[in-house]
Amino acid sequence: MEVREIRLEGRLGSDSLPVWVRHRAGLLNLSGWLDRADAEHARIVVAGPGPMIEAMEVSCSLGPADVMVEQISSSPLWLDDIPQGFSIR
Amino acid sequence: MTWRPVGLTRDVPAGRVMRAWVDGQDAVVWRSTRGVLSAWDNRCPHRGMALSHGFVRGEDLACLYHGWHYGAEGGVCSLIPSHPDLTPPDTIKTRAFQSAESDGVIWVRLEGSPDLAPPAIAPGLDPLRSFEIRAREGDIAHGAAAKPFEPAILSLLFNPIAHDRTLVTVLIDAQATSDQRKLASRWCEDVRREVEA
Amino acid sequence: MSLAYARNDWYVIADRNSLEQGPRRTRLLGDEIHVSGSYAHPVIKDASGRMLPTQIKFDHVWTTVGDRPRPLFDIPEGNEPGRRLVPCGMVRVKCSPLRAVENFLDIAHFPFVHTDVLGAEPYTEVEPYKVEIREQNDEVWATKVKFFQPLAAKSAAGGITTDYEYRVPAPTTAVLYKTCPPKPEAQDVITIFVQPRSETECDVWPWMALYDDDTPYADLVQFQQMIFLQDRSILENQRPIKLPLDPRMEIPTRSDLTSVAYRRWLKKRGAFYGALAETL
Repeated sequence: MEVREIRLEGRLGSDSLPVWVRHRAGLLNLSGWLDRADAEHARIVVAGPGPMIEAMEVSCSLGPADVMVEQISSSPLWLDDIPQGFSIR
Repeated sequence: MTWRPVGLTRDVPAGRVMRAWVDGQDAVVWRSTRGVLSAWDNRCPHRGMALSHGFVRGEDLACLYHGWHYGAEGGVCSLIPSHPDLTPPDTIKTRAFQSAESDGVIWVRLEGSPDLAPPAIAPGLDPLRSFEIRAREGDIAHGAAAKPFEPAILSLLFNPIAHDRTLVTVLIDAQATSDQRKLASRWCEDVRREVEA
Repeated sequence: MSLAYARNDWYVIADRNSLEQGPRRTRLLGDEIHVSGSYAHPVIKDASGRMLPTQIKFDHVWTTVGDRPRPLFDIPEGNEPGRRLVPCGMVRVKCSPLRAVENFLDIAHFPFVHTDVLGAEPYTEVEPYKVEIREQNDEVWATKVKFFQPLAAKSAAGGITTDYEYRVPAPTTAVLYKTCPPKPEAQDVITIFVQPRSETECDVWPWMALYDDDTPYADLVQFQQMIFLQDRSILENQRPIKLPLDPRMEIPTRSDLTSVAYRRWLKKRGAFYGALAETL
């Protein structure tokens, strides 16, 4: 089990992003949350097996049709109180 | 949704994979090594490859493209070969439909109450064969009625595949002799030829 | 479907061999194209009789139907002395031209689709590799790709771990650089030029620049054709037919990184011909 923070930058203003991210996290069985600071920046925290977190990153780099992710980066987090399920903050 | 007859039990032995159409839905029907029958959306959730081109490995159906395995019980992904050490989460799975077998016929239904069994075939009938005709159900029924089969009792089940294609499953009196069965098979060919002409 | 973008790229529509067989009709971006003349002086016309520009490059005849075509990319290895240039004919595939390119960029299918040739079980694991968009020429590059192959090329005697690099210089072209078994310090170049007949049908023209003076030409072509026919059984059976630019319907993992980077690159430049750009 790993915890990682994925940071997205780009044209992220669409309403479809949170729903899309939650659906993807559910499909990959990842817990965590999405914080969207503004229309250009979002932060996703996910907990789960390494390859599924990588799959989350790969999917997010493409994103929903009406979103253009320009930059994506990620780093490990040392958190152990990730609640089950995925929420939008 | 309605149960649709998609083929004969004997046409899908253990290890066999078949493509089927159910109410316009492209489906894969297959039987595991131990004999469990499954019917799923004919699409690997990974990259959209038709699972009907896949291969059976024990209790799993593997996609031909990247070898992702899906288990007979529920269609849950059990192996992603490019990440062999990963145990995939059970949220990664194929879209499973209901399948059942009765009297040697395989039935599939997209959704519906799980305890509702497929229609029982009239007692005393054996499946003869299941084959495709390039015509609509109504035209086939009409063509068959215009050419009554005298030697034994026949019953026809229809499954529309496309607007001009129908899967026909033919059942014959269980008491029929092998000569009568041969004649019935020839009758099927005659009906097909006439209806498609 | 953004035909406007696609019209301004150059596409292969013939090779020497197909021109020597006399005038022919083909399709490009949904329209009929007439090809005649000789390999040295090809005559390409659209359905209305308008002459289209042509150029001969990489042993193929190229044309464009756009008013402001982007320059045709270069493959400098084609000019390196000692390389043998091998046009491999054409394979028609009923699939989106973009799916043909995407499949060419994929290694994880080798053990299952090109069994005992480009891959074999249990060697299925895909090690991490690097994918980037190179800014100076806006190309997709995948580097440090490694895969175990039982019979990597006609010139390979046995199994080796092959090093790969992939380059996408245009939406319908992919270039592969791979370990050259008899000359480990060099790389063989294998390319596909995809002629988009429509959004759902394409002609794939493979072309190679190899360090291999021994294998007969017919064997080289036959090897590539065999590989492409195996790929065709995949490409004609994927759903949806057009390449989705939103991965909602799919489950890409790290080993699909090149595919995802390619789709992202298409999305960013609006190269939607053959793609499913809207949400399903």
